[in-house]
Amino acid sequence: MAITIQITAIKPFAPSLDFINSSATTDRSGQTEFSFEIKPDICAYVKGCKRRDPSDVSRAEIIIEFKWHQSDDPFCEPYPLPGDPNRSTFLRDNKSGRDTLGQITSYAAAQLGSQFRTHIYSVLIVKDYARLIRWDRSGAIVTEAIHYNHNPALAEFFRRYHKAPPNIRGVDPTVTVPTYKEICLTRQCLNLKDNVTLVKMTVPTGDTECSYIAPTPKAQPYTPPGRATRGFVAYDLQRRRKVFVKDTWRVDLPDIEREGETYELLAGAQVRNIASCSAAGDIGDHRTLTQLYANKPWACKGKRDLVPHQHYRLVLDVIGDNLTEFPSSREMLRYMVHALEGKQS
Amino acid sequence: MTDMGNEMEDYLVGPMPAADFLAEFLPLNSINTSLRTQTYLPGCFMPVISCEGETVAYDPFVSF
Repeated sequence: MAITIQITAIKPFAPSLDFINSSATTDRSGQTEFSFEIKPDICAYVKGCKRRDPSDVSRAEIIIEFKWHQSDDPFCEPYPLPGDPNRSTFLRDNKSGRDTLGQITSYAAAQLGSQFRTHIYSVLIVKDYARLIRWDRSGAIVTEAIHYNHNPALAEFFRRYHKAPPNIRGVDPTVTVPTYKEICLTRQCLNLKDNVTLVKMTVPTGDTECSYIAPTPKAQPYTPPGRATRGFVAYDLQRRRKVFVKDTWRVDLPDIEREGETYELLAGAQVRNIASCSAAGDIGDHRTLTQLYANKPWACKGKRDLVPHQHYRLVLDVIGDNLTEFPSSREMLRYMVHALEGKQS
Repeated sequence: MTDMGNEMEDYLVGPMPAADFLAEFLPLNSINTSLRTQTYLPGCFMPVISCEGETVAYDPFVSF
């Protein structure tokens, strides 16, 4: 059994958080599917939260990574890009820096993928300075180096985080813990074992919203930017039936249609063999922010234009099977025929 | 793991001034300022930055 060291002395700055030295063990959440180890140095949790100490990315609020050599810092003072003096970069051009970037990116991916968050914060400590990082589905914003022994910004970050309401911390308020009765109904309908942890999420339907219960997600090894689509076989609490819930961050640009509207159009045109979409909509004001800072006077940015994303959910009454799993070639050909019939109609 | 870092390079924005970061993402008008916390004292992290290596710095960092 691993020894858990309860760190108490940082509590004066953030007394609502527990800071746990998690450097000796890999993630124990059971909610990550990575081919490499997720092993943060320090995890900060909401005090008293149900977690698997010492390292549980599915419950971590803030992950703190330590390095001791400047060459391990993926970031540096901005400098002009070789061959393109009009553009600058703040990325350190060495292997150990890129390794650290991969490490902190994987922790952010694990945290965002195993939880329901609009954004998260992490901290990178490089001996006598720190960088604060805010991650969302558009990218990540990194601060200048904070020499925290003389600059109060790092302590102030923890002070404010401690005092911040859940939405400022990035917590998704549309995802809650189901009641015991709801859990029993879901386990029965979805034929789930007792050890499967469940969450309850809402999806807008016109002026109201519907509730669905599904197993907690497993994080996949994809970098945070993008649509981050997660599919759930879920229990529809109102209609007491099994459905498919798609949780995604749609591209939020004027010429990109919402998927639910496309389903509505297809249904209106009586296109055959289209899944019935029973609910769909934007989830509150959950929009990415990183792209809004890409052109600030202080900003160096990558080669890509950052794309705005909006959190979106959609419910289908048909639950599909993987195209790689079918009982016979006849069955697979039938799927193809249905698709062609839909296209023709 | 390094592949994830290479992929992430194009999506990073910075270096943002720390004061701007706090003002934009954790603004004072959106937090509960009535909660009392420790006042920062310059030099309080000296036990951390004087450590000889990373692994021995974890505990002093959070327990000065």
